[in-house]
Amino acid sequence: MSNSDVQLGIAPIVVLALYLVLMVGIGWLGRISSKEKSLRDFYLGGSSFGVFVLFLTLFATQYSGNTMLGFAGRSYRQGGTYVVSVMFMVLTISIISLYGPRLFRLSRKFGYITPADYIYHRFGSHPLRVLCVILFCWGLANYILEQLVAMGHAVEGLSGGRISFMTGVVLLVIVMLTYETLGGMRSVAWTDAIQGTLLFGGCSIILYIILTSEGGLPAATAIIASEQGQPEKLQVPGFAGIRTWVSTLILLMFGVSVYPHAIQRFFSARTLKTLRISLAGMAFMPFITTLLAFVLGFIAMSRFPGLSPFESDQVTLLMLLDIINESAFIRWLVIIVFVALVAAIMSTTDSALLSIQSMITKDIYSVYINPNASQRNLLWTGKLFGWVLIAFLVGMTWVSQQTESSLWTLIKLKLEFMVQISPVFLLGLFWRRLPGSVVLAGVSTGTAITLVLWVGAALGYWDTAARSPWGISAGVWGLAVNYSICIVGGLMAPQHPVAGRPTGER
Amino acid sequence: MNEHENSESPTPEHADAQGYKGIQEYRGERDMDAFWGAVNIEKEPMKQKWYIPLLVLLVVLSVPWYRSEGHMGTIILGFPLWIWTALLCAVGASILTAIGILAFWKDDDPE
Repeated sequence: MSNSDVQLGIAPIVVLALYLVLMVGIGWLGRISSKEKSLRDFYLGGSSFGVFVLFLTLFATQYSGNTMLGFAGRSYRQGGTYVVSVMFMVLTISIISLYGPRLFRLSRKFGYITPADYIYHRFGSHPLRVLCVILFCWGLANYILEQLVAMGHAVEGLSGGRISFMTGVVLLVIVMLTYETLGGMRSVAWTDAIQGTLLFGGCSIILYIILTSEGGLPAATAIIASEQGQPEKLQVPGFAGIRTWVSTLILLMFGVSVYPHAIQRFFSARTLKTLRISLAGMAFMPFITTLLAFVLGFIAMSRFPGLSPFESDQVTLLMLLDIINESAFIRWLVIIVFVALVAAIMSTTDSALLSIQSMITKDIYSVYINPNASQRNLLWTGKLFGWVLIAFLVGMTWVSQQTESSLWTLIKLKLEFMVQISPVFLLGLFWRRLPGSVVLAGVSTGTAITLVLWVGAALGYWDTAARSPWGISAGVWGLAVNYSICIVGGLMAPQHPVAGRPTGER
Repeated sequence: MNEHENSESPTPEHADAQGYKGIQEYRGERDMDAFWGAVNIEKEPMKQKWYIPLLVLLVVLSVPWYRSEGHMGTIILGFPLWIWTALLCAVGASILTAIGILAFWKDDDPE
């Protein structure tokens, strides 16, 4: 039995159980509020979300368990330069503000359910649609895998070891699948509203606790800056560090801004005003989430020096367990934060899973496998696929626990590929001259470059550092070539393609 | 498949004639004149000439390329000045983005 078990008792397990029951109850409410059995109703909640639900579902979806665990760990390992995380999360919304207005208008006029609806509509290319769906699903599956690992850690920490890592994963997955299967996006968004509120409250509490205990940030910095500390983590990086900074910025801001589950939330907005207010609010959220994780990792450097990369992904939990004995009040706050952490993880996982289900159903199954399927058939196919996929990913989670790996590696694997879809939106929505064949060549080449650099390192043809030549990640190299092909190819294409003709190959 | 086909996705079983608030599910149509007509937004952040340059300026200032390597500088409230600079640039980018979204995104969607 661990220390946290003695300190927290069974109260957190009771709170967690109540929370999970509440989630299933909301899932049931989502089901009885369903207006019809259609893809739009199941995957977009009938495009009926107001500001309150839309903002909280965007918030809970965008900020995950990884923000609180993985980002804090990264801050711990990297030091001051990881302040870049605040900027890239802000820029994610900035990029959405560029292409969002056009995509929202199109989704309203043409009734898109998935981002690939836009991709096919714009470019008329079946290979491009399939490639983008594969890249989206690859990224999201990795995203879910990363959240499942975080789920296990959170429940194990919350229960003080009474609930094992894998039991925690399976328990949360069953609850998540239950409410998601019952009401689809409506249940997911409503539970997100609760989860987003908990996350917001949890983050505020953590911020208060860490800034007021043991001298807060100034005391931690004094220790880090001392000769016995790690003063290099407070110093301006050299040219190599600057390159890594810029590479991280580009990878994350372009990658996160094309998250399909976030894009589908545009399609779920009741009105434009709802969407605008929600997105404007999201522009400030990095300051209570990403910045918090940065500060947390920073302070942890002074309190828990010498952690391995794997251990450093748990600095958030270590920080919380470190302060729970200060008072009974703090102990209850910590319990709330732990539940908020679980909520953050679940809200991201369910959204990513729903998005994969919608793409497999709408963009692959209903087009290439069973074009005459009824809506009921499509809905059940999506649900079934989701269950099989999550069972596979739970198995992968178990495997991942047999070897130590840093969460950051998983994040990179996801974004390195997903970022290649960026020109499809950022160029495709503004440049009529850009043909689908050129975009397909750009996205394929960018993906291939990334894949070769990663696979070569995995097979031992070159070392791990070489998959990020000159300190710039493989995905960014791929993206640079991808954009270059799109721009040059677009300039060489005929100026005015004939209206209504597919510009890509079929 | 034809670009004007209507068979990629069947009609919702219980949808009324209008679907949800007039939105019909996308079924693979490719009327590109309608597409480009739809993206003609009245007012959007991308059309503001100052929007992207200002964002880029904030990003460039946030990266400490102009400071000497190994420099720590003054520490204010626990962070060195170069970290505060990066954070203030992020605050600027947030405010700029919110202004872009709230003031420079106008469309004819009923509100």
